Amino acid sequence: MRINMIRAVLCAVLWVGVSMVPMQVMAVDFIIEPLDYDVPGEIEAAAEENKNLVVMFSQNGCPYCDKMHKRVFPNPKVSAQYNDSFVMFEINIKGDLDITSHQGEAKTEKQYAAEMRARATPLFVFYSKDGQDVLRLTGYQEPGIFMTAGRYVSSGAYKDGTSFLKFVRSGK
Amino acid sequence: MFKRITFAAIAAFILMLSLPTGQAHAEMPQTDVELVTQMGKVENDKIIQALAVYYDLHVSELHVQYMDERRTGAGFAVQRARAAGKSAQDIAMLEQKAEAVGKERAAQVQKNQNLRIKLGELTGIDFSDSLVMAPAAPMDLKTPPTSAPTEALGKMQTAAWKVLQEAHRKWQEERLILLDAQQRYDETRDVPIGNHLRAMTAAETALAQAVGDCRLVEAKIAAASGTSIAQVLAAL
Repeated sequence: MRINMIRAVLCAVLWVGVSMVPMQVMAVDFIIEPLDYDVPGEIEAAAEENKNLVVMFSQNGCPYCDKMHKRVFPNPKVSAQYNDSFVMFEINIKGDLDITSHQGEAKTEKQYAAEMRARATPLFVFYSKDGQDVLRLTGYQEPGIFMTAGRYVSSGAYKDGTSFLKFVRSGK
Repeated sequence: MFKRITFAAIAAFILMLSLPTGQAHAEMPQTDVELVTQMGKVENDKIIQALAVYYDLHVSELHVQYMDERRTGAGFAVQRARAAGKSAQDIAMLEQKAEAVGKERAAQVQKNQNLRIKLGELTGIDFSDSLVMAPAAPMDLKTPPTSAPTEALGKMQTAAWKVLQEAHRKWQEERLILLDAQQRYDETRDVPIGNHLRAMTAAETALAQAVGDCRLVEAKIAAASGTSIAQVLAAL
């Protein structure tokens, strides 16, 4: 279960019971902090809300990761699209937290990052609702491209073999 | 008694959970139209002054980002040289280069801080958070004014528009080059991805500068012709 899910339920209770407590607007709701870093579990939980999971492989001191956090995720158009259609969490490519890979294997963060060939960061891996990694994007993604990536995955354009590059050039 | 303590504990727990974990919307104006609106009824000169600093701050945010990227690149170069067993002289040279980049970055960070303070003083608004998006580029070139006192501004407007077109073309080009490089990097790893990423930030910086210059001229024309600055900026 996810911290954000507990938070949402408790916040709803709080809203009803103690409505004088000010509620802050969450701009970037699609970023979660999972309790157990269970990728298949998160894929399933996201799919239940008709959303896809994105994992952002990052590391401390990565300027491009910071740029995503400062300039892309809070962009109103990006957060609106991703709040609607995606759930995302971060994995530290040098981290030692225990995780369950999308193939259901127990690993540490760095083992999973190595398996996913995450070297330059950020690396975004988009998963389909049935648990396949269907798109990888390495490095900073400007808002337009990041949103196009979202449409590429949400629309299932990858299913007929259309490459992401081709999808971008088609202007969809 | 126990019930009260339990209720207080649960309430405190719920309050703690209700605090945001992500980045909340910044309270400070994220667009020039919001800035002008939030400044309220002040003289146009002061608005123009504030807008100039505001656009500079947007550019400065990207300059700092660019320097962060260069600093990381310079640090990696030292690490790679050490790992490859390069000579002490080679490593010392790279370390010197990294140190110089660090100093250059510190100067940009200082400039950024000074702009925040200056903008805060001009507007009375707290600018301690990051600015998210550079202002949007005007959609088209407005009809240049021909009557005094805006004739000179009209010439500036045309010149700024030309610079903007070129900056936008360059940005588009870098965007596609980067996208292609990212795809190739994923397949072969044989791509200097850092160079492409920095080139993209440089192109974004040049574009933000050009957009700011264009919007500032439009604001000046509005002020000189007695039109609402906020309305003109909103219509760009």
